[in-house]
Amino acid sequence: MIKMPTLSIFLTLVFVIFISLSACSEKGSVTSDYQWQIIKGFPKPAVPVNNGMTEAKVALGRTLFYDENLSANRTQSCASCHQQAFAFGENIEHSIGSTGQAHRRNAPVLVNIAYNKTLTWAHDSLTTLERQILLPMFAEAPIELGITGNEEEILARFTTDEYRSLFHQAFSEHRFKKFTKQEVSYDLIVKALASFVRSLISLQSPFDQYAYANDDNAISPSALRGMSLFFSERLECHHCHGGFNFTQSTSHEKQLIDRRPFHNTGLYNINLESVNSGNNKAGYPSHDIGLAEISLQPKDNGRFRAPTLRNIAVSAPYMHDGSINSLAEVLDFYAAGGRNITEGKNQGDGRVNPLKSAFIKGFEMNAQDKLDLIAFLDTLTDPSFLTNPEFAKP
Amino acid sequence: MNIKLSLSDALLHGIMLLGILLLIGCNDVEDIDTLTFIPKYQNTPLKCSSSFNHQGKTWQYSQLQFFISEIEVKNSDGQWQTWPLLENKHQTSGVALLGEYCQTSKLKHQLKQENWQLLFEQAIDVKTFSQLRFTLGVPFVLNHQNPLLQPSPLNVPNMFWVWQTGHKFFRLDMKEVNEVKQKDNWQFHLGSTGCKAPSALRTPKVPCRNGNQTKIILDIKESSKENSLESIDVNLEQLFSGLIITRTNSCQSEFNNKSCLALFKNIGLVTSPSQDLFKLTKITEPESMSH
Repeated sequence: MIKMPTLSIFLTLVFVIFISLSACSEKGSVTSDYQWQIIKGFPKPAVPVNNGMTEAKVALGRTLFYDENLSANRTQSCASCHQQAFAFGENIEHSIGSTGQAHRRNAPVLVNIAYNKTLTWAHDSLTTLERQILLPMFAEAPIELGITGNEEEILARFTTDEYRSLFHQAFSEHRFKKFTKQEVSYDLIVKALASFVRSLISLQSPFDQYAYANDDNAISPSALRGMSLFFSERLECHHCHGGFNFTQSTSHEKQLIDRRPFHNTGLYNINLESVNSGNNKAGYPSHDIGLAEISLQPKDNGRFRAPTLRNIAVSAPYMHDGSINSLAEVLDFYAAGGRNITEGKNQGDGRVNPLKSAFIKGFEMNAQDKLDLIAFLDTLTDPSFLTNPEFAKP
Repeated sequence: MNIKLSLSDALLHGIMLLGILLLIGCNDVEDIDTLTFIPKYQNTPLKCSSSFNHQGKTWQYSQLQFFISEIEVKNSDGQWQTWPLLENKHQTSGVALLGEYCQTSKLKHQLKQENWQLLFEQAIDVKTFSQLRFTLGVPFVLNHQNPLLQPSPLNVPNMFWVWQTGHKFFRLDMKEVNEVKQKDNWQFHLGSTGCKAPSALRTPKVPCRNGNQTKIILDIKESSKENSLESIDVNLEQLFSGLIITRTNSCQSEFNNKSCLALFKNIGLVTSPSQDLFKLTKITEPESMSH
């Protein structure tokens, strides 16, 4: 005999399973008024279910992104290190925080970051902007915006009538009354910032015209030759910088199989036996060992995420530490199969780093090849992205 | 009320029965709707974390993945019939991505990267079929499309070269794991070459000179008395046959590369249709299967 409660238990069970299955997927699409600036037919980025894109959130995020009130001493905003003219990167080797502390890394560009599989230069489990943005906001080593210790004071700066109106428009779905000062929170600030950063889509370069709009004349013969070299097995560029975003560390709503690659490119190979380095007998400078810092596995020493090459011509200097100044020198570096540093504290031959990726083997490149490759990389520059007034300071 | 209760009763029992059946599997039933592949080196099953010794070096793979398509079985009338796949993230109705991509991550358990099993839309009674055949690779018509518009698994970037050459049909990346100063590595990426297109980003209009899609034919009846078709071994030592495995002998499917020629022979692509890379697992000698 079955009793009514059994049915309700059964239905509850089905419901619980359904809910837990939906909870399993960290990201999913959310219906919203937001129109992605993407080529027709392109898959959309995957967006966290609890922070769907809306125009109002993007507008609030943009205002916050450019507001120096977000740093404790009111000297810096996100845009201080992520400048539109440099593809939302920076033209200096290392970024400097609001209190003058130097960051160990080069500010990564914010280009199509909504499609990133992982965020920052070397972290395999940092997958949402909502979590990544906490780093520049609250980090203490080094201090970037410097919010930690000044939380209340800074939050109070965002309770003006103007901001409360923006917050109300962005997050009004559960609040029919006017936003109160108490309702402005770091959680909402982060959600809005993440939405703005996700809106920074660059898919209107000459390369896109060639590749996706089938315009055979969109790029020069030299760029075409450079493109063949780029995609050749001899140069192997596309093994790491492949896919529509020119980084294999890319995902979108239709990409269901996960990939989170990181590579050691032979940039360094310091003999560390003499400098007390634990398990690593050779490797990258101890202040920045890449993925190994997160994974705690010696074999991940020197492994960093391949960045997108979109707008690469405007985002010098290059590499995670900004240690190469020009694209021509980057090409020389890969042609040599790594970097041999012959003097100074980083002395060592990166070309023979035992942890170097198998795809960094070096290659022959004549002067014309080099010009052609640079011409190709130039076709990845999207002028409309760099000057789009919707991305500029409001 | 009573009717509703008995319906739910039946439903509940049905689900329990289904669960039990799923747990029991197909041990006593000859109808099968899955096919498992087992990577092996000299009869020892492998996975990302296992090492094997070959030619005096200790190796691990960091990626072993391949596309299987056009899966067919031969019936008693000698007719080949399609055995369609279930659609999921690892397979479309006609193409499946099998294998393993090794990630170093502290979240490893959350990122299951292996898929060694084909799931079919319908079960078949293997007793009535004499042979199984499939293509190692992606058919030409599906191979050179805009990957962004493809369903999973045809949109995995590191299993795709460019539109002109299409997918990497088979990818094996290996590295030496000994505590040596200079670690060796070796890669084999199988795919089409000699594809005529105006550039890397354009689709060829006619099939490539070297399509390199390989037909694999396996005899079902020979494998065991029970006609069991439970699993297929992927024998790496057979792949390496006649080849010295070292970084300079890697192969990216170049038609004039010596190691590629040896590899093409070992997968049954050139000269003879026979190959030993894929074999039905002999179930008469039970293996300890860690998968």
